[in-house]
Amino acid sequence: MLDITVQAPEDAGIAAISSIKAELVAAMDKAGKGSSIVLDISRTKRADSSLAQLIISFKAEAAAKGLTGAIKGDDEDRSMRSMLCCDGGGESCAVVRRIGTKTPEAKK
Amino acid sequence: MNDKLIETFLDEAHELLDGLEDQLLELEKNPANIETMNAAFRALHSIKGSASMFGFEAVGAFAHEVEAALDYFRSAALPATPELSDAVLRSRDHIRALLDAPETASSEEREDLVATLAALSGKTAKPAAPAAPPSAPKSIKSFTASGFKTFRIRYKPSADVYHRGVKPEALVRELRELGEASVRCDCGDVPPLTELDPESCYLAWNVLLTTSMQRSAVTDVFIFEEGTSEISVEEINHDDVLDGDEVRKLGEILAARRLPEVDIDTALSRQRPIGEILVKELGTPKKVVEDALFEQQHARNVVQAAREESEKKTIRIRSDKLDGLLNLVGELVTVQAQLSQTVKDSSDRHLHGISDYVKRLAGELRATSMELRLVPVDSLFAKFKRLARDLSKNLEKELELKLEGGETEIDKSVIDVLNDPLVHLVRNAADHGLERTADRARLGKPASGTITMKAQHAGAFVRISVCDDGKGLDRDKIFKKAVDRGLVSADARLTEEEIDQLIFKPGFSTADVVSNVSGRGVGLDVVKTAIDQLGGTLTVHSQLGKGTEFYLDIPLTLAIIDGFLVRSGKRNFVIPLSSVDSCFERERPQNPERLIVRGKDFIPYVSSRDMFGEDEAAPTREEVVIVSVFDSKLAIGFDQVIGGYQTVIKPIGEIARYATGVSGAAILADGGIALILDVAALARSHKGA
Repeated sequence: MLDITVQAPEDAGIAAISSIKAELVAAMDKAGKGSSIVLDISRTKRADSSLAQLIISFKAEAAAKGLTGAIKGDDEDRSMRSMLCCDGGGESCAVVRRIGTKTPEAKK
Repeated sequence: MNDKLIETFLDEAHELLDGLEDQLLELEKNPANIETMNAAFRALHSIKGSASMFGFEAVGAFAHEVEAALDYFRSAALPATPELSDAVLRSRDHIRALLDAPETASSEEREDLVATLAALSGKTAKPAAPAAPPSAPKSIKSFTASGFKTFRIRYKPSADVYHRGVKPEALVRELRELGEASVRCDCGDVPPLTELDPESCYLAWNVLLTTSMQRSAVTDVFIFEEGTSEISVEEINHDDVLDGDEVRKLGEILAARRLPEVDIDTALSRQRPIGEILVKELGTPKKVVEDALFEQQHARNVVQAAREESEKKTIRIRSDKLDGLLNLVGELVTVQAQLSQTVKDSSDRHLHGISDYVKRLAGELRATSMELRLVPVDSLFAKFKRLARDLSKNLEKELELKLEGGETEIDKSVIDVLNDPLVHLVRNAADHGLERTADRARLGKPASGTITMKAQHAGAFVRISVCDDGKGLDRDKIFKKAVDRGLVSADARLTEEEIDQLIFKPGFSTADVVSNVSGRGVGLDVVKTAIDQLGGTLTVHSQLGKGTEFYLDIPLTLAIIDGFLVRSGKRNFVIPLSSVDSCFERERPQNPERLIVRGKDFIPYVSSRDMFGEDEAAPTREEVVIVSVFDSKLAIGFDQVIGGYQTVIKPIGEIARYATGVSGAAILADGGIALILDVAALARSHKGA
């Protein structure tokens, strides 16, 4: 099992997005089942929705391959919510309240 | 036009201009910050609209010119140039002049600014267009179902959106600025990593926007996306989600979306969430229920925002009315003390009860009315950002202004008086304190000098400090200058502190060159006088080569304080209760002492009899009160401690300037007078004991 970290650059906008993807794909190819791959965005100062969709795709693919896909450094400024300018955080952003989950404010 | 309305407009315009100044200073630091650019634009837009409405046509017309220049940069997403920030800052000052004293506003300045702004926006100057009606969005806090519209917006950018240089999330951010928006991003089309073309966009945004703006304002956001991306803007009937000011239940929202009533009734009859039953058991598309939930949550946000606002409405009150209220409260506190005194010897328990109740009410009224007058120091500090920026330019020195403790609250009347002294200190720090940029580099200091303004509470005082990391006071130079000016004799032996105090002498200046910033020999003595008149103190600490710190210790309020009443012989004194550390009784010492020992501390001691004189024979026992202000403590001996006393401060004017250790007077319940001790000054004068 391997733990691989892919470091995202300071400027992780459209100009850098293909190379980040290439690094992630290479890391996944190298990693065996149960390994974890971390995309470290803690040094990233500029990011947009292209990075957000890459993260969504990366995490989904990692899960499908039995890997752990994690993000490091996704604080408020570098959150999915900030990159997508939405109320939720990426995948969970798609719904305000998931159907079937009970929340305190749930009304019939 | 109603004077009160005009007054309100002027108040709001001044607030907007203050905010605009902050935004422009921020733009100078971050020229590409589109949010700040938009905020500045909105401020100008609001001023323009309301100025015309209130008959300030000249302001409206001029603001239009400024707004046009800002809009040129904003629309083209161009970063603000230093020239633009500079011109808009000057324009902001010109608008202020037009509002405050139109007769003094220079028409040459206006013409120059209009030409500059026109050049900046690539146009030649032309006559101002009539001011447009206000078109900035209203705050959602004023939401009414009839005054606002809610739009359901779906934006699916074309796959090549990134290659076209468009950031779709930035457009969504623009939508948010139009009102209250709930935004969810639809990520369902994002493929697995191996199939993902990371330079293509797979995302879509669903937005619910409640706004006072028209539909065209919404569609304008997507003006460059029309024809290339999928955009739909649909207005929602507020009745579908709201019943008056109540958010409808999910079942009602779904019914409005034409979901079969029989399905809704079936789902409602079960003891499980309706959405879950509809999707899992009755085959309702998940998306339909999710959309309804999204709308329900959005409606809840809008209603909540409007409710919160209605619960905490504010009103503007003229400060002289607050002054009048506080005076009345002061009189009430004095009368209440007289009542307590009169009732003291009565055996009527009912009367005692009433007297205690009046005392409690007077105390609460006092606290509330004092609180009404407190304003954060931030309102004072904010003006200094601009001053620092202008000083930096004028003096050609890099300088950074740091502001700390802006949330510290202080009486409005004190704030008003502090402005000029602080301006003097900051100008002095920039002009005389900080070295030139090249000299700093040579000395191994950061190129940018730092001036720090800080406010903090300490009991009944607020300490405001102005510190710089410049060259510090040159005591040799100060002494020499003082001798030249005949302020001290050449053979005088002065301590460092005494030399530092010379800078507060009238007419003293060590500046070799008179600049347009400072150095005319007026300033620090004026500062000291102003602080003295406030009942405060001004001190200076300096280290050669390291910098200088000025401390202004100001009483929190100039009106009423919680006092500690003490007596010596026939004289009464009040000590601000917040300065009292502890007190104890002891045998009066036979021989005068200068220090007492309390635990591990040696505390300077002074007898009130020695300080203020007393003919009556001293009792054999003494009450010692230990007072503490900032880092100084002092023990003061009195004949008797009487106890807590709500003290209405009565200024004693010029006398206070010559009576060391006294800051004011109070009228007691029996009509007698008590002197209010200036414990900060006393503690300082005995610090070296």
